[in-house]
Amino acid sequence: MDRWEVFGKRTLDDPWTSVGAVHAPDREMALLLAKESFFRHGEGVDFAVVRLDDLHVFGRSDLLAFATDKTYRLQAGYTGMGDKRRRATAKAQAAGAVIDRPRPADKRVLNTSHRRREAADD
Amino acid sequence: MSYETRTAEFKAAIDAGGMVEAGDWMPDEYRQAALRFIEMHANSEIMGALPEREWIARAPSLRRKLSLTAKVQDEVGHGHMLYRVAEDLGKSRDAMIADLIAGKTKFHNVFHYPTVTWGDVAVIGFLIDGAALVTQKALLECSYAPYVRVLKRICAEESLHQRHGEDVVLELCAGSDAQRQMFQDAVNRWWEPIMQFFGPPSKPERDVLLHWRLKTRTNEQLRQRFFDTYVPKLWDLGISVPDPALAYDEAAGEWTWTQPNWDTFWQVVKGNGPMTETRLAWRRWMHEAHGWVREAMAESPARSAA
Repeated sequence: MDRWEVFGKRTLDDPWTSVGAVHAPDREMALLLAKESFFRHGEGVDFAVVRLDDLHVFGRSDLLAFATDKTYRLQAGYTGMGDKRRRATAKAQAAGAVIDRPRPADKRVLNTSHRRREAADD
Repeated sequence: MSYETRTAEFKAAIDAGGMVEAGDWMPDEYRQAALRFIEMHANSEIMGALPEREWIARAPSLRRKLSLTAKVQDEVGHGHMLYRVAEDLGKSRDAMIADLIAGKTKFHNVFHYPTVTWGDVAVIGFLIDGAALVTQKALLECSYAPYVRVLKRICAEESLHQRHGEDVVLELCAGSDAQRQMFQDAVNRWWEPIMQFFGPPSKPERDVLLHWRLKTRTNEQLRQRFFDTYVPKLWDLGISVPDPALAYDEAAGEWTWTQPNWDTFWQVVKGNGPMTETRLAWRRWMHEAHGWVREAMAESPARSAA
C-alpha cells in the first residue's frame, strides 16, 4: 500500500506545512484518511496529499550550509546598529543640529519586528 | 446565476474578509486588476535590481559587494515568485517579459533614475526599501491569497535589505563630513521621486484596487506611515529633508508636505525617465544573451525522459 504525505494550511494565506503521513491504496482513500487523522479539531482550512514516490527530497543538509561566511544574508550579520545610531546622532548634535521639531509621539509603524530588533540592539 | 449576481456575491465575500485562490471563479475586473498590479510589482523587482547592480563592483568593501550581490539575487528571486503568481491569472511569463523589455508595461518610478554615488545606494537600501516595505506590509491584508503567501516571504527578505540599508546609512552618517554630505546630497536628489513613489492622493471610492481589496490603504495613508517612521530617523541623524513644508501637525495627527510635480511622475512611469532607455536596453540585451539557457532547459534530457 502506498504511503502519502499530508500537508495542511491553518489559514488560506499560509504556505503548505507537512503534518504527517497515511497509508492508503488510492487518492480518495488517502484524502479521507488524512482528513480523519489530522483535521478533526479545526486544524486548518485545507489540506493535500502527495504520494511519497512523487515527493523528491533534497536530503543534503551539508549543501545547504554556508561553505564560507555568508552572515551578510542574515539579520544577525548587521549588529551594533544602536551604537552606530547613537554615534551618528552625537556627531550631528556636535555639529550643531538641533532636533526639536514635532513628531508623532507613538511611532505608528507597521513594521513592529523592526522595533523589537532595535530594542535588542540597545 | 447571472454574471452580475455572481460578481455581487464575490464582492460581498471579499468585503467580509474572504480570500481568493487562483482556481476560484473571479470577475474579469478582479482578474485584470490583480494581474496588472502583480505584474507591475514583478517588473519592479526585476528592474529594481539594476540600479544597485551598477554598484556591486564599486562597493567600498568586499563585504558590501557580497551584501549587494545577495540583495540583487533576492530581488530577482522576488520577480520570479511574482511572475509565477501573475501567470496563474492568465498571462504567460514570456508575454510579461516581452512586454517589459518592449516598454509596454510599467515598473516603479524610482527605478528610472541614476545612482550617482554610494550615497544613492544608501538611500535605495534605507528609504526606498523602507517605502516598499510600508506598502508591501499593507498588502499582506489583501484578498488574493497566492499573492499574500509570496509577500510574506518577500517582506521577510525586504526587512533584511532594509536593515542592510540602514547599516550603510549609519556608517555614512557616523563617518567623515564628506560621507555625511554624500548621503545628504543623495536624500536631496531622491526625496521627490520617493514622494511620487506612493502615487498621487486619490479618491478611495474611485480606486479599483481598493474596491477589490487588492490594496487595503490609500496612497496617502501609506505616505503618512512612511513619514512617521523615516522622517524622525533622518532628523536624529542630522539629515534634513528637502521639503520646507514638511512638518508634523500634532493636532491633526498627520504630516503636511509639498506635492511633487505629478506631471514628471507620469512622464517617468510612462517610460520617459532619465535612465529608462538605458536600463531597458540592458534588460533586453540580458534576455537575448541568455536565450541559450532557456533553450537548454527546454530540451534537457531529464525533462524529455519524465
